[in-house]
Amino acid sequence: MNIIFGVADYLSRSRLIRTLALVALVLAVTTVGALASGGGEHGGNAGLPQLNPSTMMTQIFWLIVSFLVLYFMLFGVALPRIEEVLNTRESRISWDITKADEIRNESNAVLASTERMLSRTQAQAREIISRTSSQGQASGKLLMDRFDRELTRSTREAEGRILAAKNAALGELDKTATDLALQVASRLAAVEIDRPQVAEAVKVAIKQRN
Amino acid sequence: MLSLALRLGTEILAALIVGTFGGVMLDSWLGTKPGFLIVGLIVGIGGGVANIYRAVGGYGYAIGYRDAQEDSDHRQNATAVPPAGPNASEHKGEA
Amino acid sequence: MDPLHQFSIKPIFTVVIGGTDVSFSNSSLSMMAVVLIVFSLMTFSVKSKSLVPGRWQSLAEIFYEFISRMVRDNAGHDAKPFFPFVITLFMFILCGNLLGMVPGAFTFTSHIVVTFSMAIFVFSMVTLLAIVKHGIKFLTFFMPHGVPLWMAPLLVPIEIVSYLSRPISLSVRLFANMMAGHTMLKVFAGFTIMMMGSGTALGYAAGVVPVVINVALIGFEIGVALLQAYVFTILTCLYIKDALELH
Repeated sequence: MNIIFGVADYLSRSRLIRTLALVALVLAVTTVGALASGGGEHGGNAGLPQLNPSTMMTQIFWLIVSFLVLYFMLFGVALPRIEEVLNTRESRISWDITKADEIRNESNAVLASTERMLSRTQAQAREIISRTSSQGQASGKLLMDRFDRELTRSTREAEGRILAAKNAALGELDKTATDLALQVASRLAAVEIDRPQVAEAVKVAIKQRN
Repeated sequence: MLSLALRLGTEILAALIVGTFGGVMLDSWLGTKPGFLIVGLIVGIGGGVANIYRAVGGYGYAIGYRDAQEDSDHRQNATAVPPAGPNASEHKGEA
Repeated sequence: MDPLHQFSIKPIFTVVIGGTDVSFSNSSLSMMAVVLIVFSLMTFSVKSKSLVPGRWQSLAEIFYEFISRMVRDNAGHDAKPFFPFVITLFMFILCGNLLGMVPGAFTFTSHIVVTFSMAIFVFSMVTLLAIVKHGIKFLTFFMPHGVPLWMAPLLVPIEIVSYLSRPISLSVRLFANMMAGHTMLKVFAGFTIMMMGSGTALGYAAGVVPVVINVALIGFEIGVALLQAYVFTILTCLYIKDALELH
């Protein structure tokens, strides 16, 4: 209805169409008369064919026949078929939807388990890495410690050796200094001094020097 | 507009045909030559007016005068799809 | 040249049943063609295994669902048994109207006898339905609600006339629309022939005008063909609803 109004509205708005329609109307009015008079002369079967009673029964008869045929064809064959198709499609679509839901749930579950596994694996990997690195550190430390100990021991040994050598050297020095002092004293002052006394004096002198 | 005019014309014509035809039939049956024809014409005009009232006033095509409001979906005419509300039938049940 | 000539019934072969002439005519041929077309469309285009419908199957399904919805919305859920009848009615009228738009084809819906037969069938069916379903209560149909009792002698005849006029308005509407449209087309087509018959250049030029108008008219007429099939069907649905509910 609206479409028809719309078209009519459009047509009435177009000036060209309006002009054409006006021309056509004038032509119609002028020629209908001619047609009517011509038709009158023509004679023939006057009046509306729709009101001719002799053809009414055939139309009613064939209307009933064709309508009944169509009704039973549609009722018996076509409509059940279309209904079946629509139902099948609907059930198929809903089946598809439920199936898709199922699959989605399944895939979600798989995804979740995969993620769990992944996180577990990651944790494991982290643990292994940390363990390995601490182990490495530990063995490094052990090595270091041993090296340290070795180093300190050898250092201490070396120190001991040096100290001994130094003491020995110092002892020798004392003795030499005492001898020297005795000889100097005997030669210069011609005095015979006690050896222990000289040694004591040298020790004191060395102490004072140091 | 044209289709509306055609429709209303049809409505009034139909009622007039029924009224006149009924009047003529009653006359020939009862032998009251012009009496029932006149009555039938008047009733036919009345029926036509009722038809038009219903068609324009939004009462749908049904016999009787339901609430225009209740049947407002049928207001335009049958060419507009009336989206019958779920409670439209309830209303009619109690009316 | 007679614009009404297209409506004349021409017998193709003679059939007489019980002394009555029921010859198979051009009108009967159109009806049979419609039966064939509708049945083919609704049956052979529909393949039960195809999930995605083709063009023709889509069309058949659209008609099916359109009428199914129309019956449900306009006649109520109780009207489901009438669905096959309503869809047959709709397809029959629609295809009859559209077939009439094919040049040279006969439009059987342009005959009042045909439309009136259909309308009177719908009317009788609906009335019988109301009487069977509601019995004597059916008579309350003719007494409007909320009207004082003393007005009943005036209103009841009017309502009865109004009720009885239903099949007439139903059939006249379809018949008049189809006939008027086809006559108009023929009249304009006749103008072209007349103008060209003058043989002058002006006549030929002016002869184009009715052709242009006819192009527009044919579009309009296709719209009318669809609309009138729809109106006839939806009124049938509304009448069924009235009979079922008897407000």
